[in-house]
Amino acid sequence: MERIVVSSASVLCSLARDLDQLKSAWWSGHSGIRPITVIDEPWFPCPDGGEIPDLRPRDLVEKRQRKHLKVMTRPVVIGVSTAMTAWRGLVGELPPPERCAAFVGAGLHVDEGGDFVPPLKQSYDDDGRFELRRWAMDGIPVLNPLWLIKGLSNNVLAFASLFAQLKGVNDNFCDGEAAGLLAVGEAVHALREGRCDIALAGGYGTYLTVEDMVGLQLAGRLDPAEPPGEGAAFFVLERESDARAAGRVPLAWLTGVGSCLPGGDPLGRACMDAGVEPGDLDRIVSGVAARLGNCHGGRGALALAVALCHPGERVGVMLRVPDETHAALVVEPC
Amino acid sequence: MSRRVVITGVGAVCPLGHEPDAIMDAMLAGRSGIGPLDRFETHGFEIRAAGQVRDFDLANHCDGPEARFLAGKEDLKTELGLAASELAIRDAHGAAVPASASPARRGLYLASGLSSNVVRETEEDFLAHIDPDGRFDFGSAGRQLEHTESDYRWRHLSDLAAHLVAGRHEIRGPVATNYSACAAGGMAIGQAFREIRAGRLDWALAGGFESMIHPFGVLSFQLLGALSESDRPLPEISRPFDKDRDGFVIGEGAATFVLEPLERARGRRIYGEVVGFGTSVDAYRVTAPTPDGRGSSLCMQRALADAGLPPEAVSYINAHGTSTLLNDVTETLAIKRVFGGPDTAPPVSSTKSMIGHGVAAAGAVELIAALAALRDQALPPTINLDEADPECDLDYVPKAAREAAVHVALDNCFGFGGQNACLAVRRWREDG
Repeated sequence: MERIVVSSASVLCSLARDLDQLKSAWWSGHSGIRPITVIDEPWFPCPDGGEIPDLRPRDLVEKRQRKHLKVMTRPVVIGVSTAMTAWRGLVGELPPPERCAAFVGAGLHVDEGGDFVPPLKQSYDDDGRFELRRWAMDGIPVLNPLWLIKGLSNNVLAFASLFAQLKGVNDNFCDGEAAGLLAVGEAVHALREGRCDIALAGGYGTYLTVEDMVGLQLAGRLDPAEPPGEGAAFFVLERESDARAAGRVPLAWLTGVGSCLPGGDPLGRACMDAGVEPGDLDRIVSGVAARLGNCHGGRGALALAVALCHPGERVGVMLRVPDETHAALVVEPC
Repeated sequence: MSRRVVITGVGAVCPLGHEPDAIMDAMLAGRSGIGPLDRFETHGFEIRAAGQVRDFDLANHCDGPEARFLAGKEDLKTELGLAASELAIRDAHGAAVPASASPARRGLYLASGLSSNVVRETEEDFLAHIDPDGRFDFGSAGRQLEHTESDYRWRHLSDLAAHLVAGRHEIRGPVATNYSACAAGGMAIGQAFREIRAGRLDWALAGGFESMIHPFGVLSFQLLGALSESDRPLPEISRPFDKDRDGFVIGEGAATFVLEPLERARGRRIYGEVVGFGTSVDAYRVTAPTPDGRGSSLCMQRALADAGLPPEAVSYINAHGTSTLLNDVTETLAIKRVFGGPDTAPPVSSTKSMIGHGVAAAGAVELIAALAALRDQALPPTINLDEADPECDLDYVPKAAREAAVHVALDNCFGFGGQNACLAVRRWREDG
């Protein structure tokens, strides 16, 4: 079975805007945790998080693509721009669009909160009670009609496929914080089985929305040790022979993938897939959220990016969030 | 390793019933499951019709701790998914997954959609904390913390059903929760098929579940102008490929399938053999399909190539067939790209005419129609098709089912954002 390589990688998170920056910052021991500004609320019990500083969505997309910004939430912009950076990082000849695949791990973020405020203000009765009838009659007409589209969880896959003209096989996963690793794992399978010749794969997400922060807070999961964050990491994967034939220098091999529900052993499955024992691993990367923030659907993919910051090592990347889908990869130096 | 993969269990809860053979019978009888949208106060909404699941009580299908966990959570979507999963496993095995499929070799691939938050929760969690200026008051939310139920985070999670099913049936192998909009159900089943065919799994449960029949769900499609506002009698509103169609009818439901390698299934009922799976992306517009049908034609071509079948081997296509102006024309063009013109394309029908659009569950529920065609050697009809749109010039099996030799059927599902999936299923007979 031919090895699958990472030919290009891109990162956008609180600590870095590309893989070299991430490598430098990671090895320097820097942290991306800083005061949260996207939600301007000094009372909030978790004032710090992994927010991407000075992020201006307009700067992240090409000028000719800016018209699409009106149907993108902030995390979608982060995801799309990171995916496109990874894709544009490729040198050499590319396969035809029909052989270019896309696999994305995403968080579920339907709206940005603000869209709902105007209609909600129309929806209270004289006693301050929300009334569905008022909402339907007076609220809906002032709701942004693009509300649903803006945050659709397959938006990043849709826009990245559109911008990069990826018309091959595809899939979109929403398995919590492991979603990005599942997407990369499915890309590995697709390449091994010859369903595509090259694949854009990764994950994106955020917990820095009102809904998510309140949700974490109410669930008792607002953990200062792993504060909420936002970010994305995307990778271009292909068979090693194709990469080398096109003159692309692989960053690493992806030799094993595994996933399971709680109670299973994702790293064991990934090691078995790679033909190695867990004891053969030089390092296991799992806890990146303490320094990058917990980026929900982007967390797993960012962990893979951190693994690429350890060249020369055989690294296991694993996410075992309690009560969520577990996933793991084995990364090896080329 | 490449193994033959067959469907040995079907569980479904949809507007046409809660039992697969009864649903197949209803589909072949052309019965409509469309009725009044009456789940919530709809005054002010412009939509009258829905394909609602009726007479559903999770306790009738699942009485374990998982059902008790869901009690009172108003998470119909997950309840439907859990019920369908229980029904499929019971259908295949009588009770539990057999020990011959070790837990680590069991997989779970379920598709779901957007949150199904109910108004009560929204009121309690969010609306109560919006101040008069329309700002969210974190302080107010924080002070309510101690009064909030501890399992808040479990509300409406897309992968909650997967966790409940996996725990109940010791599924310890690969898992994925697919969100590919309206293509999700087909995507999930296709992924499970591949895992078994490749020898990575010995058993899988796959399918989709969805309910967007709640104020926020209906609102989202109403705002996009995707729903029919027709004043026709309710069962006649969903009319795919008809010249007077004006949008889809929102539906809901769940369908899951037990997939196993053929060698483990012999001697038991086999609904059909999954022989091919293809996906594609339009890469055209996020909100519209490629006008020439090129994007969705690719997934059909890939499913046929995956199955090693020529186009002429296909006897029937269960269309995505939403009843929207755009979809039905472009899907027709896509089919013609693959199969040629009206004289050479196989019969096509849309069972959304009877059940509405099940969104993330659509591809899974509609696979039952393809299995019905294999079972009875008959084509499920497109009801309400009085006069076809001039741009829709294929054989859509209008109004009533008809007998046909059905060996291979395709199940199309196309999603918002341009994701497309197609499953190919073949009639299975012991003598090959």
